[in-house]
Amino acid sequence: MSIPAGPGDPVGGVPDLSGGGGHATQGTTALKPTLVASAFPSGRSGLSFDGVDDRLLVAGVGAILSGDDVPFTVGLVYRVTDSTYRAMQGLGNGATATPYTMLYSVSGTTLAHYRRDNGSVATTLSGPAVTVNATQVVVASFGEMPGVTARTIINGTLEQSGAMDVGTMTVDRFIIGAAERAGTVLYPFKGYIGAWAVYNRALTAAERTSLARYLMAWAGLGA
Amino acid sequence: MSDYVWRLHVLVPVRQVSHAGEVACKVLPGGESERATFGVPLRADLSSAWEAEGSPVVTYMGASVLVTERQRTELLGALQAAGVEALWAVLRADTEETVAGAPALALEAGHPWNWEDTLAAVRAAGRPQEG
Repeated sequence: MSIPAGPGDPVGGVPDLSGGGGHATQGTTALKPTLVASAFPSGRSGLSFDGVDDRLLVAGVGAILSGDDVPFTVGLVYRVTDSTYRAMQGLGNGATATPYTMLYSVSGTTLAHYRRDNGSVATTLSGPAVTVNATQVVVASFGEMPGVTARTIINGTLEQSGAMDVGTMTVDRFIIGAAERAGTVLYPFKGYIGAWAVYNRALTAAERTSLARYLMAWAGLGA
Repeated sequence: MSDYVWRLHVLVPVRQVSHAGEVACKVLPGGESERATFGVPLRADLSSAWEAEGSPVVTYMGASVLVTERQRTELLGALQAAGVEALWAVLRADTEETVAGAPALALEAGHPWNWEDTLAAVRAAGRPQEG
């Protein structure tokens, strides 16, 4: 992250502005997303992911989310540009194909959660509708107690939730722009991703609303 | 203005992926990190191997990479010099229209193109034929 990228350049890193050290990086040229100017209605730049192999790994976050239904929340500005299966964010383990989780668009119609634990137990939670070629904001939370509830909220209003109790997952990577199984790309994202925020807990309703409003303002969606 | 003018799609036979990775390490700027360049596993029908459960047979490994003209020339030249039977398509980075391709793919220049088109061109060329 020593040389700022210009429009059209591959991006090898996005610094964590929270001070938590969760920088998103990618050292392999082919896997780097591309910086695009004015990618969102606010005029802000975004990262273009090629839908083949591009992705960023967020340092340190995967490991702290290992365990038994460890809660976390992710908020993300995105624009999906086609209507196939695309993962915006994932957790994975470089040593095994089994434990992984992802937040993904299903044939361009919905956003869904998918988690799979160390014992190959899988669960899926369908979410609200995605609009192809539209800038949107998602806030997704996992592991809310009681009931091990997961939530997916688009643009602060369209919400679906339900139980998603998977159990223990041993993960070592937090990925933006794809999921991974055994370190290999799965459902690579095709489109644009802007700002994101990650919390190591399930946010409250008021906090989810605040995060959605912040990201919508960032994107120029007039929250 | 960006120096990255080409989007390059490259497929290499899985049996040659280690050689291809060594070439990428020498040519691309990321050093040892470039060993992961050809990281998209493809089955015999060129569908993504990891969308299948179990242990699918991988035939080709693919990559989609943004490169400068110098990197494009050096990467394709070095793959050829190393005897890697790479199949490739060069697109304009800004419009993703075809510019050129490996002779076996018979690409026409100036067409909108994406990864799936490259896979379809490889299928039409009768590849892959081995696992």
